[in-house]
Amino acid sequence: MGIRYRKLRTAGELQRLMRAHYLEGQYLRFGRPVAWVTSGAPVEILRAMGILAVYPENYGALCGARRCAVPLCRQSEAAGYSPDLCSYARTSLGAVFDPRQAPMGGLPRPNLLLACNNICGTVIKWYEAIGEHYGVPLFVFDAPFIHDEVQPHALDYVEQQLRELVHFVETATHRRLRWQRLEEVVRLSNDTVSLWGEIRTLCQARPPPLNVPDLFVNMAPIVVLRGTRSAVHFYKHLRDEVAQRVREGVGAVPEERHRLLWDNIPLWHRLYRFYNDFAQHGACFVVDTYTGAWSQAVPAGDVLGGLAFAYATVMLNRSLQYRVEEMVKLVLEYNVDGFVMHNNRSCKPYSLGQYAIKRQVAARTGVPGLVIEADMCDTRSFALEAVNTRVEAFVEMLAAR
Amino acid sequence: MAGPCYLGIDIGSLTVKAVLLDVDRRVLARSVLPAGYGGQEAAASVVAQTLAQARLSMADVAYSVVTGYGRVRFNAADEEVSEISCDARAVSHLYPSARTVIDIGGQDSKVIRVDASGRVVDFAMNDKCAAGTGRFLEVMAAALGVPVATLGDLALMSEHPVEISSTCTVFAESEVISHIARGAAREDVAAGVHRAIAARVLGLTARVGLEPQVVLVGGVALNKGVATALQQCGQAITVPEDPQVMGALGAALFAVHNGGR
Amino acid sequence: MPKAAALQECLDLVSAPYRDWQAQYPGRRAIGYFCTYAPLELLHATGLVPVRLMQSAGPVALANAHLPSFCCALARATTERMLSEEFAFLQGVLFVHTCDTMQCLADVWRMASPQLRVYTFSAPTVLDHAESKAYCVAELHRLACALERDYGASISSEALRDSIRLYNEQRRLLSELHGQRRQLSDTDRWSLTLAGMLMPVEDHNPLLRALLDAAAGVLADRDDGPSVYLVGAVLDDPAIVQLIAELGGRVVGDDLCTGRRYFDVLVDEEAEPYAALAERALQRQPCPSKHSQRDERRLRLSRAIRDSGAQGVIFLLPKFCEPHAFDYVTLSNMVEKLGLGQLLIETDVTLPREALRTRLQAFLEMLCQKDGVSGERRQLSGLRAGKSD
Repeated sequence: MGIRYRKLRTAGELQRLMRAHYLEGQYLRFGRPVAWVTSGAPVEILRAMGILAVYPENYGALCGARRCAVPLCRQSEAAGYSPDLCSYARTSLGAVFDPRQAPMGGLPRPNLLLACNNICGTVIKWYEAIGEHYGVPLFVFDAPFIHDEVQPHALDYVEQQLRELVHFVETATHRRLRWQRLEEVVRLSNDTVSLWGEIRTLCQARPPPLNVPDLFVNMAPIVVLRGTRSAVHFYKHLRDEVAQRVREGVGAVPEERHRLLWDNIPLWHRLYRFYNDFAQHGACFVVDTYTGAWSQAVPAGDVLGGLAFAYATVMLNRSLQYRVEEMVKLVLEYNVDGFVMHNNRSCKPYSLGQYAIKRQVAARTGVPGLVIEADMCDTRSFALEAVNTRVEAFVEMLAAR
Repeated sequence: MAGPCYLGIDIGSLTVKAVLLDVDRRVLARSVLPAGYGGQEAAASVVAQTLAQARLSMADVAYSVVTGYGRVRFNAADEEVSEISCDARAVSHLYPSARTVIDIGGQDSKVIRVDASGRVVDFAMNDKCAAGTGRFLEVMAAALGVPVATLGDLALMSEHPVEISSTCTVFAESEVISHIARGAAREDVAAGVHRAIAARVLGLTARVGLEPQVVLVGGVALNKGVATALQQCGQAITVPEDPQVMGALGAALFAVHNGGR
Repeated sequence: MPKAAALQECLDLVSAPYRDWQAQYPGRRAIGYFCTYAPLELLHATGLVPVRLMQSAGPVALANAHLPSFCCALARATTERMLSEEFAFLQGVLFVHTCDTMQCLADVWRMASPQLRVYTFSAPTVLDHAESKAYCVAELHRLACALERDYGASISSEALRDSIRLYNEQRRLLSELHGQRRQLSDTDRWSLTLAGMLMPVEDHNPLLRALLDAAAGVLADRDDGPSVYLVGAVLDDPAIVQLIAELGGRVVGDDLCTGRRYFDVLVDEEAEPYAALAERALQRQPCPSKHSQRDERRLRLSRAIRDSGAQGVIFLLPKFCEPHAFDYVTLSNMVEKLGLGQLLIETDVTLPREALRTRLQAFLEMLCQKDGVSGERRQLSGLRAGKSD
């Protein structure tokens, strides 16, 4: 009586793509430098210089999904890192300190590090630790937080840093930036973003062709392969498959009764089972705020100015009020009946304002919300019974409306 | 009994202990009593009981040292010393080759590293979280419906311990209840509980280091299941005959040393 | 005796900072701030009195509807105070961008209290990019415009220079206060320092001057107990320092936000004021939430600890503070290499006196043995310290 998960045809292609990405870093470098990069960093610059980018955050998610993050966390905790710190950081550092326990033996040794604080300030401290361990240079890309309007002097600061970044990478790798190549990479990024946007919009359909775990799994290339041709090809195929599902009226969840919105990073360690529990009650997550964070295109015109704007204004770099507006928009556009927020111990920028956001979104839209306390990777901070109780109560509440 | 004697008092949150030594550091008497409310009255009682055992009075006591949670409010001693220093002192006295002391009490747990001279080199404490303390065992014993004093023996009967993964006592309790509901054998759940407390305590030792000889003291050391579970770290664990009074013994040893001057 | 009265005024203010503030300073307009990166001179030149917002001893209850438990006590306890109307006397609040928690707190307060005037100052996170200073200056100007608009003031260059001179004077006096260990007890020293963040600077300066003059040559502390260096964030309760003194220890230096980092480095009085303010922000001993490419924090701290002659270092880290917790690992290893003892105390909303006492006592006992040895390193759970109950 369990719901069979409706697998995508492109799932195989996704697996190959991601495996190739990790293998490339390990075995197929061909002399190319490797950079460890945060998910919100302007990777286009690195791509345009032929540098391989790998993403410790994605690696953390992978460890979470394989349920092997805890032993790695214990390694970094034994080294003195507080268990209250972000579990991506603790997992990543644990893999660095003891690669034997790490999937794929950990990430390939970096030549340089690039961290941007547009997603959080923790990445700066995390990457400082990595830089110290490996003795490699770190560039911190400082995107000032936007409490109200985007400030011109902040954009200037960000744009200047892009120039400094180019100089930094040129010095560290002896490679030169080819501006034409950069423009091409930015075009590819934008194509990826555009396709991803289409895929998400297709989920407005009834029945929704995808449930949110599909989005979480398929967003990996837009994070780690943004600016590449292979990412564009993959998303074309995925978009076509999703569009076909919509045409044929194929839903991700049989008997969709409730359309839900998900907020925050998923519980990687319970990726399918968690949403399956909702699906049992006919609840499908048709939209989320997390995968939308990579829906920012680089505006046309001067490429550095465009990159500066795109990276400075990502969702997590904007005020709670801005996020309320965005969530209200999504609730209306996707015809959502309820929303679930993951109060994620590991992510303060995403989680601290959730009670405030929940109140305002519920008041503005009339739609009820549920807050679940857990962690994205660390299963020690997850109480299954407590969460199940809340989920059941929420679903009962939806059914009664 | 001729000669001065030296008194060590340990005022814990759940029990009060006293140890009386002669000038050659031989134990003349020792007592343990429940702390009751506040511990001060109980401290006076345990001192009285200990002296009575040795047929001595306060006049015979040359020097006294108090330690433990309630030491600050106890006025009748000559000196107060932290329980970390006292534990280290007592264990080094009994086991000169001891290098790590693990003290699991009713409400806290401590790990202390000592050197060859018995001096404290490093220490770590957990007194905020019930997991890893005697309290954890109490809660789980109640959930299993057995007296906490029999929990250790029950655990030792298990061959297939269940997994309890939560770091929080409340979460762990709900895991225990789930296991029982699913029909797991009591001894297997009890064994899982002991592994959990051992894992928590070993986590505490991680920063300080676990160098042999490792000695386990404190009230919870009376539970044989805990010592066995701790051995999953790969080290032998030594449990003294009278693990509960180590703090008071250490205080008494300080009394001999400091009172002799 | 004027000395006793002035000192008592400070002690009273520190123990109950906000209750009678307006009555004590009638006609003055207070603006709240959390952080040593706040440009106090700018606030002062607007005609406002910057008042530091600190945590309280009480339980956190109302704030739980606005913040989850996994953020620091400073955020939760000040939110509790705000919701309990303790900050009703404030004309506004300034949030400086430092860590993720402060970043969210600004917006949480705006949403919880729409009538409260909230200002933000997105100071640069990287201290030594080529453009960090220019950006900081521009951001200061933006804040100045917002203040001028709302408080009907016009911040002239001259007014700003006057404010700079006053705060520099405070910095010099505090430096003197902390430099001369023999004059006042540790507890008094800390209370005087905290008082300076709660009262108008023009009242604090003469009070400090008078107390320093009166205490000249007076030996207040024992000179022979084990010496410790404090590393941490906001210490807003002298109780810990008092306990260290009670147990026979001496604080010979610190890297606290409400200590040395508050008065570290003067603002250049000759330079253009906005540039000078930005320069100081970028040059002074950094907060771990800031990044410097040259690892300034660790280098300077290493030197400062060695120069202080401390036998041991006590880390006073707020639970849930990411920047401090990450830096701790590096700093802990550094202290070990220096051959000094170290103790970690995690602070939180409430204070269990016994646990704090046990740790401090055990640590000081250890320092009294020969050779530097280590106290408590990173532990699985810590203890809480705040205002005493």
